[in-house]
Amino acid sequence: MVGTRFQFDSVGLRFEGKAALDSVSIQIEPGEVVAFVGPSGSGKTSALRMLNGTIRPTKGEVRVDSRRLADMSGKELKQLRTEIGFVHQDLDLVPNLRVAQNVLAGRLGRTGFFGSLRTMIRPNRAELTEVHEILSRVGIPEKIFQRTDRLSGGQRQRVAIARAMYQQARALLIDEPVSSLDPARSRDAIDLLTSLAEEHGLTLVASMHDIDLAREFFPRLIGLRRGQIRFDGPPDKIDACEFEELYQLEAEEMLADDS
Amino acid sequence: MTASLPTRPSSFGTRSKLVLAIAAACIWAIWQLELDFGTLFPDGRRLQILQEFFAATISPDLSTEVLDQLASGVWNTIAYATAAMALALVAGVILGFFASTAWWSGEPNYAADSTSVTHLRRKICAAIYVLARLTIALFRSIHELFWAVIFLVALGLNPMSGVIAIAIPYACILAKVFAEMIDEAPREAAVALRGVGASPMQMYCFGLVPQAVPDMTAYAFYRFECTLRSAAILGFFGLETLGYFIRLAFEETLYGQCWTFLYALLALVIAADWWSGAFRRSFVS
Repeated sequence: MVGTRFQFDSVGLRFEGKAALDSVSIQIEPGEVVAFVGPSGSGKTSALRMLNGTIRPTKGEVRVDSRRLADMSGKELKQLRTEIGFVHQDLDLVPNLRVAQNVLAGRLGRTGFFGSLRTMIRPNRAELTEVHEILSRVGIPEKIFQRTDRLSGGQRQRVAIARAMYQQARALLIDEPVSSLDPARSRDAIDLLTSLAEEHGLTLVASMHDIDLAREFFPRLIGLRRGQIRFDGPPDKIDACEFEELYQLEAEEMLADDS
Repeated sequence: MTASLPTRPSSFGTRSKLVLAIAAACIWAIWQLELDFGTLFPDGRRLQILQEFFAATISPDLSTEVLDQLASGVWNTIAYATAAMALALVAGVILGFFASTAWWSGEPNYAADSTSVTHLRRKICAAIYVLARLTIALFRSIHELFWAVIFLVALGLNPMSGVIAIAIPYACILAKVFAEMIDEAPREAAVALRGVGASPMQMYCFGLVPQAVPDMTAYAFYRFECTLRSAAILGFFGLETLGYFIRLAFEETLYGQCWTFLYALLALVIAADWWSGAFRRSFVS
């Protein structure tokens, strides 16, 4: 089965006394490509992290493929995470491992400890061939044996995407995929992500700071502000002033600490 | 209207008090021991010994006989140091694992909400951790010279006594430092591995340990230099390392010979330092 269905039912999250999300209800269908957009602290990342159960809502329910995350045991959650790729904002690759090892780590959840020890220390030919193919897909096959911290930001981004692909996930959750890239590379990375998702029928949910990129590449945008949905639909159906309103910060928001 | 100036922090704060306390402790220690700096400038026979000893710095004994002893002394010193370090490394890595908190505890969002670590398991892990820390503290607090005395009495004058005497405290020092290095490694990469369904053990081994390995290697090399010195010193107890020959030469007032061995020890430590530096650079780049 390809693609994962995500569902938020009146989800609320309180964080240090403040509402990070407030009564959010969303349904994301298998194979859909969606971006959460909004200013810093609007709840984009929180929403994303709830989708794989990294954080739990304080109100409401999150369902993945109709299963309630709240009912899942630790083992079931671990199993679920092997099927959902998550690319963090800071990528969070192991800096002094080689690119191949960082990609191979994508299947740690499917192997036992000693099996994974063998793979990480001495991957076999089949594994390396598969990693090489995926790296070719993301455009950096020649970097397979390079140390990850020797790569540029854009290349590391691709390693993180390659890991999620090697994971054979049915859904990709991507937190601010282009926050550390220059505009040309940002377009490239988003183009790559959305086309990979469409090609493999994966559900792709990204949180995006850059509204213009989001409008260009994502067929569905969900606007969040102060933990509430301001709009949800295809970019051409959303009024320009709605975008403007989303980013108009009040003075107190400008001075507030980022969260 | 401008706001009033916030209260200036006291210039006699905790840090100033600490510096004063340390200075007071130093003065008290010197007074307590009735240190006489005049003894640094001896006269008569003592001054003569001192002069003879340092005069020999420019005339080390390079006779064949001495060079033969030197070769055997250097070889034995390296052998003792290497054997002791090998044992210390294995024990240090194992003990260091149990003495680190990263694989079972740590910040929220790490293993704390990893549902696969149950409450009971965390308690057991905490008990193992405390036990490992106590073991390390206990064995580390006793110097290798003291261990040497114990093992020479218990096992007799043989290589094993010397190697074990060095290996025990070194294993504990390595374990303590390794554990801290692993615990201080940035945890984001390990947390990201949980995102792909990795177990806490996999997160530890593939997310944290690799980041600590360069520091751990550098530290192990530094400790190897220390084992060279320790192995040499154990020669004073009769094991045939450089210290053995230094002691014999010194007792027979053959200061030229003494300097030959001291220079060899110096060369050995410098070589180890250079080698570890070169290795470290190749490891990091």
